Amino acid sequence: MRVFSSSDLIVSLLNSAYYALGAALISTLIGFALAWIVTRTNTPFRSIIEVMAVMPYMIPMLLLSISYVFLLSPRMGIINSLLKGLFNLSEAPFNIYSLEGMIWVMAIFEAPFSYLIISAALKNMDPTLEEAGKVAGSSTLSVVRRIVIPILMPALLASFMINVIRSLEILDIPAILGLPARVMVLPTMIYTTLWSGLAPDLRGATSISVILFALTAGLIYLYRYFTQQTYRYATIGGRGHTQTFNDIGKWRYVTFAFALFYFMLSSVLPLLVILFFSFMPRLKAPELEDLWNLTLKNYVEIFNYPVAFRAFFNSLFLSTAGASLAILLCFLVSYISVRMRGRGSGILETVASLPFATPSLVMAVGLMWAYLFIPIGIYGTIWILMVGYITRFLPFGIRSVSVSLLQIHKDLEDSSKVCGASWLRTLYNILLPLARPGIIAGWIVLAVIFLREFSISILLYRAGSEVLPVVIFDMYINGFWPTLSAIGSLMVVISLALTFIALRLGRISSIAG
Amino acid sequence: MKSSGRGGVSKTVSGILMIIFLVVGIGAGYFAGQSGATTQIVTVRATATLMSTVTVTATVTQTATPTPKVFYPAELVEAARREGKLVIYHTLPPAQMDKLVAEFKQRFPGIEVETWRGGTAELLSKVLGEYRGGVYAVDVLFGSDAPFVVLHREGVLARRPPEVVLPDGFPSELILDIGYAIRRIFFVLMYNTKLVSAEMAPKTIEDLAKPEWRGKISAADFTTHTPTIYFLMQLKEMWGEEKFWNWMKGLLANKPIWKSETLPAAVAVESGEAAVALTVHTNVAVALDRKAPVGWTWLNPLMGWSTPLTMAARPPHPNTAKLFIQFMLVDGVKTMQEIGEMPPLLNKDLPIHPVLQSIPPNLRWLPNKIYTDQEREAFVAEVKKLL
Repeated sequence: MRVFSSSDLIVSLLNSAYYALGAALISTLIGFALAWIVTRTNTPFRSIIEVMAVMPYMIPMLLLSISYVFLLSPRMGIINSLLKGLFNLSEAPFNIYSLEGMIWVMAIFEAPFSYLIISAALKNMDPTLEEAGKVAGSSTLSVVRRIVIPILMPALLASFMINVIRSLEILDIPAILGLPARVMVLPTMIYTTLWSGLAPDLRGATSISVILFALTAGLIYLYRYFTQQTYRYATIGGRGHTQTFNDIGKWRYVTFAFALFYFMLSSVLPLLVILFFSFMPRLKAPELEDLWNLTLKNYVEIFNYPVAFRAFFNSLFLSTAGASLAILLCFLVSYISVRMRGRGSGILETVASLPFATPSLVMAVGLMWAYLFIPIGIYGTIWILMVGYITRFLPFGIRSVSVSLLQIHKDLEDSSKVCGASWLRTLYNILLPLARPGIIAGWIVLAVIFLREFSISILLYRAGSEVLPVVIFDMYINGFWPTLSAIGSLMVVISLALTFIALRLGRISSIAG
Repeated sequence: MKSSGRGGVSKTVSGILMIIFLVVGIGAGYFAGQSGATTQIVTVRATATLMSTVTVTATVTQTATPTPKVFYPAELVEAARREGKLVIYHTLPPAQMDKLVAEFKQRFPGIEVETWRGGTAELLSKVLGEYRGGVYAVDVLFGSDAPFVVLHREGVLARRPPEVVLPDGFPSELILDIGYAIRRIFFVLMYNTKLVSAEMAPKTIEDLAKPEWRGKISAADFTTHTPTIYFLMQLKEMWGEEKFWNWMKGLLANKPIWKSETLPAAVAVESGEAAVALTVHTNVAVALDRKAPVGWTWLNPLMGWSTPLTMAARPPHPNTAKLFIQFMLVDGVKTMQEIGEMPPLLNKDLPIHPVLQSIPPNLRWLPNKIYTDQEREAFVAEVKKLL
């Protein structure tokens, strides 16, 4: 009851609303702008922009937040220092430790999701509608405003809602950028309730979790409602259409500059600054002279830091074994719901998609309660992390696998059975090979998510079950910034490799949507 | 009865006199061995020690034998080696603990040591969660006294610290139910010398409320970091309500960068994020060892907290835990003063870290207080009104 009557909760709720709505709005706007540039304009290097648009997704969110501390911290941030020097300013122009700072970092992290959702919708939209608008004398901007945006409304709303939900549940950004300015949002309130004071207040954390769960569940309902209304906006008919690119004249350089600017702020600068810190000889405010004193010792240091080493193997194990186990479950659930249509399959599908509405922190608090009182010995071990990861992110894998299964006509299975093949043989010879792209893409997406998962891990890890994001957070707190940056750089390389494979398999958009 | 009473009184008086002489003798001998900049703080503590442990000190002295003490009995070392592992949860800066562990491993090769470091609240939350979940992973705990009181009450810590052979002159008032309070932490003002010159640096804690420090201060969160909260509460008692709250208003108006504990507050100064931090002396030592450009100002009176060392209630490696605690009381304390950690007594014949050497001789030391949950919550509520 104390939590519900506290003024902190009201402040946190208001902050959460401002933060989530702000981040969702900006990310959707960026996503829309990039999608429109790629699918509808003759902007140069569109295929490169397509890759640029999804790049921030490959940088773990925790690392992106830390990189922005290195860039925009009021006193030592590189950009702030440069601007102060250039314009002889007494105060730093930007302060990343603020609600606005949190909104910005969240927005650029979420923009790839918005881009994928909106660009998919734009690609499916009949361009003749826009041509008709132009023939009627409307300008390009007018066509966008009067035709494109109204038709895209379901996709825009879906992107907006997903980003609101994700902003509400993620701990990484508020923990790094919000806590130093005492900007509390619901996830940081859960975190500090559990990790501050003189006793972990599990009941208080649970109370806040209930509020967060109610909020996200309500938003998921709204999201479903909006996406189910899409028939009103259907523009894909039986008639095929080819994608056309509008000639926007000299504006194409402006659109290219916009894409490049976004790419610089969302990926290039964060990655460069992390890489730069990974070569710094020690923790300090970066200076020009540091360029002549760069060292590789931080990469060697990783091997002298047993916890980091252990965390690396734990993360790798959770990422690979966890994703494998998860994808097996995803296949079973998808098969039952796609192939065995019935009442039971509907219930199974609903149960399996429930975690989508359950924020990671809420899931972690639930698991704490569950396994503190169910003495099966997994509390405090790496297995509770695996249970948490798989449960929380199962819907992502199911989405990937079920789309693949839906594309395989049942006749193929029936033919196999008619020829005398058993169900297992049909599965092995027909279903698995045909659904393989979806299964592999789902596996990779889950592996990347598991590799950088922070919100569940920070509450459930114990000595011996540390994972990389937790160690990075710990090193950030303890001032091992150069070593942290070295580990982070390696994490980005792994994430990049996995994400590029996933992109090549072309399934990201189906999962994000 | 009267006679017997007179005889009893006489015996008591003789006993007291004997004890006083012994105490004075020990004290004189002890103080004679102390000199230089560190004398005052040691004097304060040693005086407190002798006043409260007269009997113990006298008994120890009376029964002392010329046989040298055996601190590491072969059977204990052998049993520890058989266990082969030690798990320590602590709140020390990682660099400091690594040095202590390295010494231990060098002295007792073949024992694997696993350490986990967290802030005060994290350690509490972690170990309580583990014990409630039936996970008994930790052997030794080394952290702030306030959460240790809670952990002791909750049955996570051993009822008493393990019986070990104490070195001569070990202050008995540091033997607590929650452990051997062998490490003392003092609040200091730490500043980045590239951003603030020694002349411009804050000279007293009152200076932090001056507007010139706006946006330049980092500190552990005044509403969540328990040792800082207790420090502030003690400051309030010392200054009185009016002075304290006026100062607090000024300080909060300077918009400090809030960190979860004193270590990241110091890191903020080291990285240049903040110009000055309200932190503790051990973090200054760490920064100096990392060759960071930092300076520091001692507070007067010296205030802080102690860090007890004890064994968990259900340690998986009890012999190794006992051996480590024994090591810390005998040899660890020597390393502590070398790396900037304040041991129970400074030994001037051994290397002393520059930070400890810099303690001004005229400083007063104020023993820390542990407040009740209600007092703490009431104070935090008042602070929150100003945020």
